[in-house]
Amino acid sequence: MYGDPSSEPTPEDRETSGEMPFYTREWHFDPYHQALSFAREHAPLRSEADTEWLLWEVFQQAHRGEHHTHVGSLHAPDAELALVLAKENYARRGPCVNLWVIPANQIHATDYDDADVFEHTTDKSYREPSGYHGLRKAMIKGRGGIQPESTVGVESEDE
Amino acid sequence: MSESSFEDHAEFQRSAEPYVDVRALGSGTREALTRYVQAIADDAMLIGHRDSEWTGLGPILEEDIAFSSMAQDEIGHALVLYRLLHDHLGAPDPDGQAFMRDAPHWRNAVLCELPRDDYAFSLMRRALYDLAVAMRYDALRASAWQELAAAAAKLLQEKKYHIIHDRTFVSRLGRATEESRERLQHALDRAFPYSLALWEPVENEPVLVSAKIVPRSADLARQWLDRICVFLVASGLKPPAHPDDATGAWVSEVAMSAVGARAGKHSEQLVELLAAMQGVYRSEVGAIW
Repeated sequence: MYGDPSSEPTPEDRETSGEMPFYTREWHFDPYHQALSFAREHAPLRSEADTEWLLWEVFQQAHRGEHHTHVGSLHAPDAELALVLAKENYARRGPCVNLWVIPANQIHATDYDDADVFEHTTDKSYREPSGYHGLRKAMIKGRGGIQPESTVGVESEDE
Repeated sequence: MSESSFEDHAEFQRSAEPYVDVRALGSGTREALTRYVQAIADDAMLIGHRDSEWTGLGPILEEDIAFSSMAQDEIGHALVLYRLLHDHLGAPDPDGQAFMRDAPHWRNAVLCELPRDDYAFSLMRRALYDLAVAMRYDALRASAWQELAAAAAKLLQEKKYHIIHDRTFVSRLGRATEESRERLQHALDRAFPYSLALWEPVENEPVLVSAKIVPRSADLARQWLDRICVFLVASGLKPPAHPDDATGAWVSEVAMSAVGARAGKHSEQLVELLAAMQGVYRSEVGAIW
């Protein structure tokens, strides 16, 4: 069953069962907190379906206009109580102007077995600002025509 | 989250008159004022101490933390008020007031010294207390004593969350299961007569009222009774009170319990509480932590 640790194939099962090579297997998006699978199956948003209260992820915004940042999780039977409890559990020290709570079972995650897809095996420095370091100078100084002296504000390579 | 507003204190509004100079008040007025501020400071100190006894024992981890944090808030409020007494009315320093006074010198309502009992009782006590105190601080913002008005405004800000907390829990537990409703109702029946005594006036309150330093407790008590009863009924509970047929104002069916606490008459439980709360401080007075 989807998200249920007991019936879910292990990474080994997944790699050995199909005839398809490992790199063509389906992506597997787990509910972030798999212990909730039972409640999810029986009544997705009703707390009494679970043996304990729903798990909520808490996001805190320190100042207006900033991103909300994940600060932790807590149990609560509904969103309003989750917000009430989040205030004292997570926002009682640092600055805070706004809180979000999100049912943990609504968050889907990639599998750590797929972490290889995030690896960079070739030079991807062109995707980073630092990958462009010196490029402008090379363009100005190289290929003739423009002299370094005439480029105001561009630092020389000697510096 | 809903917020509460307590802006209907038509009887007690700041007039254009200048603030009073507390040091220049007559000794009778100063004594009455000391009693009044001590009473509300002691309420905060002791409910804070009692609720802090839940730390590590709360019904769930998250509420354990929230309830403990609110307990700390109350002790912080007591500190603000003890400082006022120390700075302006000649009382000992805050530690001296909190840790060196014996039971007959405490002016808190007995509600605040009762043992924590079960969580239903502690929660219900907070619900009754928090609304009362928020309304009192709200009214005190108009006090003719400037420092008291400023302190009340500061403390009121933290009462907003306390009330949101209490309302959220009481309204759910009052309608959740038969057991949760019964336990809250039992807690209400027990706490309600004591909560009426939060409004027991200190001796000589009228001189403070006519100097516009504090609101009349009986006025606030009436407004509080209306609000708390409407809330309790909406939460599936039955307060021991009913609305008057003619005026609609709520009338209590029970008498105030533990009258005399504002003058120092307390239960045995206060002695036991103070032994626990003051023991460490008294074992080495003046120790630096």
